[in-house]
Amino acid sequence: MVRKGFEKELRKLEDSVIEMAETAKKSIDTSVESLKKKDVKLAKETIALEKEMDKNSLDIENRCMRLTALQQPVAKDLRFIASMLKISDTLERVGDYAGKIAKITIKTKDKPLAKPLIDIPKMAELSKEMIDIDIEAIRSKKVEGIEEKLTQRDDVIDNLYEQIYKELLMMMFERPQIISDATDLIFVGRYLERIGDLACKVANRTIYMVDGRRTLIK
Amino acid sequence: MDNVTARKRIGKVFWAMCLASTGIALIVLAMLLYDSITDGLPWLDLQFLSSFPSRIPARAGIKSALYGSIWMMAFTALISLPLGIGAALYLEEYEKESLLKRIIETNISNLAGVPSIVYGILGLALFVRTLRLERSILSGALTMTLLILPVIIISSQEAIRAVPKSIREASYALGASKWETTRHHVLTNALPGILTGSILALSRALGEAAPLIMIGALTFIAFTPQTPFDPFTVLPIQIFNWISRPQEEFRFLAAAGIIVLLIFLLSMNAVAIIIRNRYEKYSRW
Amino acid sequence: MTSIKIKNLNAYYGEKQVLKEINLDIGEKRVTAIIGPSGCGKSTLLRCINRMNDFIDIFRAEGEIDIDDKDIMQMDPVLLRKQVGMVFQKPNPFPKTIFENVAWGPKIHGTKDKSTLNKIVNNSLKQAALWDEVKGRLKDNALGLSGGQQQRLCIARALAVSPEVILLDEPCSALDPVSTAKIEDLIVALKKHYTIVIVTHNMQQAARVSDNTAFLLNGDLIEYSDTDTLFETPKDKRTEDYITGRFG
Repeated sequence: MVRKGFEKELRKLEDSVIEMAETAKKSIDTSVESLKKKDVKLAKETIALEKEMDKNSLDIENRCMRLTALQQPVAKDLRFIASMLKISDTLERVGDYAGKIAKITIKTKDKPLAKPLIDIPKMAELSKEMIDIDIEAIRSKKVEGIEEKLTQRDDVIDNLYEQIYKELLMMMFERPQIISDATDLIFVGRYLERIGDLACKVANRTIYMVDGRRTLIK
Repeated sequence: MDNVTARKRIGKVFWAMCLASTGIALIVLAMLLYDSITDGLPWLDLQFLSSFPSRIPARAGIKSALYGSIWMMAFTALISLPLGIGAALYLEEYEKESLLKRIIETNISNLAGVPSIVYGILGLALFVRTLRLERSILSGALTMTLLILPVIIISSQEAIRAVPKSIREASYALGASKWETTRHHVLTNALPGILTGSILALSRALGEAAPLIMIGALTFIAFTPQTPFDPFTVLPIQIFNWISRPQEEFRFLAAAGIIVLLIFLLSMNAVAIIIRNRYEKYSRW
Repeated sequence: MTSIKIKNLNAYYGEKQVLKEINLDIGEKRVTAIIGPSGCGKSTLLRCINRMNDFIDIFRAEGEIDIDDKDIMQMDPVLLRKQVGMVFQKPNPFPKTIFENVAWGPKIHGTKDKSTLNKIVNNSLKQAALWDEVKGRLKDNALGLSGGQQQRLCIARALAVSPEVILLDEPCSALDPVSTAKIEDLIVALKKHYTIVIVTHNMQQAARVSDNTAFLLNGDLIEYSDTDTLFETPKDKRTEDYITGRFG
């Protein structure tokens, strides 16, 4: 095996991206948790995580550019670096959505929830699972069955969102005074549904990275 | 650190030894030149160049020997160059690597080292006697050809080998045939080297006396040759002739002859150097 | 124009087999790159196409190479090489004038007319993107040119006998980056009129100039595909290892 230094840089890049994915999971957790408990401290923590991810994403981008310029990667190296670039960007957007949820928490900190959170935590759990599947695929470079696993979970998330949306719409008809709070919750559902889509995007990139296939999950 | 001083000292000793060797060679050469010039220069005049040999030193000259040498050189060159270059081309360009080729090349190298007197014996037997060419310029030139042919072949081979393979490839890649490649590129580019080597070989022939004495050129010749079948004498033989006389004056005549021979030799070498320098500019492939 | 079909080509140096069952279709008016590590047989393969290996006593080749559906193994190599020009690794202009370098090929092929020769020389030098740099000094010795100019002169010289195929054997390996870029531009421009095969150990160069790339390893043709595909998603693990520099 030659090009040891390059190889080491690539492994470090992968570690950084996986670390970002872990942070993304954590930010989903803290954001939904902060909403559930109306915990401003947790919400602020989420926003801090978002900032951290912005920074990490930029750092990863810089490293990808440098490796491209200096090492002129081709084939799997090129696919790897290009994928890391796009995956880190996608994960950063996961952080953005978590941050938006946290901001809703801060905005509505003194008001009770429009309804108890049941489906939203379920969606959060599912999206975290999806990111876990991504992490495992990135780490092991094995993508067999990943499409089915993700589509399955993404379908559940989509249905949950549909359900939340209809439910809250009904509630708004009945009690117009909660329209504002209910809309916030619809947004939260929408954000989590988007996070699910982003997890699928990460998988698309991972499949391309591993065997060069262009897929379009979701 | 002491070690370095000691090593440097060895280096200096070696340098001094090399300098001394060069010095000795130069001193010997200078002595030879000095001796010849002081003895011969007063005798070297137009009369010396335009007179035939004579028993009377004051009337003796070198005309027949000078003409003989020029005739000899011309014929030797005419015969030996085509033969030598042709053989070298064949060996380098046409003959494939084989045991036979190696044997031939080894033998040519060996022939270059054979004493010149042996060629004289061969010339006497082959040209003078068998081919009945008598003691003519042609016999002499053929004998000299035998003598310098190995040197011409070897130096031409070197020159041909020095033409880079890439030039040949460039030519073949354009769709040139073997003959076109050899004629336009190999030969053209090797020619300066071939000529340099050949001129040096010819100048060796110019200074040779032994094989010509062997075939009988050591005679009193008081006329200039008119055809290649005429008898002749050459400068080294004339010099040898004078030196073997008892009279003091002939020794001076010999010295004057040596000066003429040296001028002749040096100008041939100068031509070789000029040719080499002229083409060296463009031989850095 | 001309496509090259190599069929079941085997080649040997003495007992050693250097090319094994090569099958390769080289498209006309395209640049085809042959890459591979040193000693993989890529130069040998290239030199089979104009039979330059014939000069090696111990070389032997079996199989078929068709140019225009004619098997070149049965052709007179002198005629073949007029049709298939070659440019070598080290610039090797003749130690003659710039004009003579380009004009010599047409001359031996029978063009004697002075004005025709002038035209050929001018066109070839223009095609080789050298004209502007040498137009005032065609009578100068070619060895006075820079390495990159010499190499373009060699390309002009090859173009002058109007070949259909041009073989380039690592044409930039002795050149600086600027000269290399010029030659690469030239290769891309020339493919409009010629079928070009280039051997290179510079993979970026293969990626930049070629339409198709063949990867050779130990005399085997491992992979042959579009250059894009080969450099983005090679099929064979060995190709991937080689182009990503993980080889050996």
